[in-house]
Amino acid sequence: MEEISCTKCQAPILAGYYNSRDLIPCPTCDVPLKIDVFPAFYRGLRPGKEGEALTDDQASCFYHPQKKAVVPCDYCGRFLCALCDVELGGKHLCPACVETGKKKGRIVNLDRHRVLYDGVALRLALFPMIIFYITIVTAPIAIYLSIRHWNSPMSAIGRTKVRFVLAIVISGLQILAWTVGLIYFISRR
Amino acid sequence: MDGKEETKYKRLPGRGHRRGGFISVSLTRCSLYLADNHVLAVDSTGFSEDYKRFHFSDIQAIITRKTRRGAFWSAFLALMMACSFMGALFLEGEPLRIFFWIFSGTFLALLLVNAFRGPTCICHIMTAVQRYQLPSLNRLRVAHKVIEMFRPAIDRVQGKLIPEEVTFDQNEGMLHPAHPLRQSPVRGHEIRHDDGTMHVMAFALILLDGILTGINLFHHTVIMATLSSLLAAGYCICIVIALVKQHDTDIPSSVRRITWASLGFVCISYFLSYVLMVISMVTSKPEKIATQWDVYRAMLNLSPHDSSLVMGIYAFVAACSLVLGTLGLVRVMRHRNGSANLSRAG
Repeated sequence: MEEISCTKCQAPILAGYYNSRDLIPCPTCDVPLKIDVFPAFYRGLRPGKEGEALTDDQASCFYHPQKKAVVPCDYCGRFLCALCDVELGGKHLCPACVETGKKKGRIVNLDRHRVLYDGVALRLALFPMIIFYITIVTAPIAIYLSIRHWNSPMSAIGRTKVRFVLAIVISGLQILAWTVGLIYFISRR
Repeated sequence: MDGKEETKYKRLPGRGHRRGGFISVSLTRCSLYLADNHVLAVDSTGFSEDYKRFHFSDIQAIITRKTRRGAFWSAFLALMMACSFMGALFLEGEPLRIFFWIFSGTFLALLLVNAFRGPTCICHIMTAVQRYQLPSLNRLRVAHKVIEMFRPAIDRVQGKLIPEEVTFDQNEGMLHPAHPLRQSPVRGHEIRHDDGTMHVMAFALILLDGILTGINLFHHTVIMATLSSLLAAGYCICIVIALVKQHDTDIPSSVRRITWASLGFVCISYFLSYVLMVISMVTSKPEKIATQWDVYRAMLNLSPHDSSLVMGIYAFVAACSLVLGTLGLVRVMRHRNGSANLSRAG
C-alpha cells in the first residue's frame, strides 16, 4: 500500500486523518488538509495476468502459440492469451492494435494531445486585424487551414465547427475588403 | 475502429491555470470533464490541448489542501481599494478624483468577487503511479462539490470500503488522536530546536516602535520620528533573519504566522512611508527640497496634526505595531518557557 503524504511538506499522513468530514491540520506543517481515500488505495495494484499453458484441443494465442487463447481482439479478431489481452475502455485489444491505434489516433482513449486547428484558424483571422496590413497574408492562410482541417480530429471534449465557419467568414470579408480597396485604388489612378 | 467514437463528456465546475514557472509565456487553462468511466483533465493553450484520463477504478485518493492565496488577494485588494479611496477623498482636481473613484470601485468589485468565491485550495488526485495536481479545483467550495460528483461514480466501480479496511482505518484513528504531536523527523528534514531569540528581538523592536509612534501621535518631535525610522529598519532586518532561521525548527506555527504577518506589515508600512514622503514633498516649498536628505527631513517634520491622512497612517502603524509586537512576544515567551520546562524535565 502506498502512503499518502502532505502535499506541502511531504510528511506521511496517518490513516486516522483519512475521510474526515472537515479539514484537519497536517501533523507536521499545520496546513489544513482533507484526504478522501477510496477502496483502490487499500487494494493496491492488481497483479498482472499470466497466460495459461495450451492443452491439445484448445485454440492458441496468435503471439504465443504455446499459450491458451482466452479472448479475441475486438479490432483485428486475433486470438489472445491472458498476457496479450489489453483491456481498454471495456474493449479487449492486442498489443499491435493498441500501437497502431495510438500512432494513427484511432483510439480516442489513448489521445494525449490534439492541435486545435479551428482555434488556430480563428485567431489567425482575428488577431492580425490589429495591424490590418498583414491580413493580406493571414486571411488566405486562415481559409486554407479551415478547409484543410475541416475533417481533422477536433477537441476530445467535443466542439462544433463554428470557429472554422467564423474564420472563413472573417477572412473572406478581409479578402473582399482588400479586393475592393485595390480595385478602387487602381480605378482612381 | 470503434475506438474512434468520441466519448461524451460533461463539464465539471471550476477553471484554473497551471503555473509554468515564475514568468510563464503561454497561459495554460485547466478544466475537468466527466465521462462514464473516467475523469478527463484538459490543459488548453488555445492552440492545442493536452489530456490526462483518470479511470474511476484507478483513483486512490483526492487530497485537498487549503491555501492562503485567497486571503492574500483579499488583503491586497482591500489595501489597493483603501489607497484609491483615500486618493479619491483627499486629492484635488475633479478628473483625478473621478479616476480614483473608478479605481476604488473596481477594486471593491474584485474584492467582493474574491470573497464570494470562498477560500482557496490546491487539489491533487492520486493513483497507484502518480499524484497529479488539478488546478481547476482551486476553491474549496468547488473542490468539495466536484469530489461529491466523483464519489458515486467511484463507488459504483470500486465498491464501498469492506469492513476489514474500515476497521483498519478506525484502529489507526484510535491510535492517533485528531491533533497529535508533531511528527519528526520527516523524510530527511531534521527538526532543530530554536529558542526564538531573533523573534524576541524582532517583536521587541516592533513593540518599541509601536510605543514611539503612539507617543508621536500626541507629541511629535523630529528626534522621536528619527528613532522610529531607525527602529523600523532594525526590526525589518530582524524579521528577515527570523524568517530564515525558523525554517525546519520547532518554532510553533502561531509564531511563524505572526512573523510572516510582521513581514507583510513591514511592506505596508514602507508603502505608507512612501505616501508620507510624497505628501511632505507636495506640502513643502520647492526651493527647500534640493537633496534626498531634504526630502527625508521634510518627512520627519510632517506632524500627524498637519492632516487627517497623516494622523490615520500614524494611528494604523502604531496599532499594528502594538498588536503584532505584543502577540509575538507573548507567543515566543510561551514557546521559550515550554522548551525550558521540557529540558528541565528531561
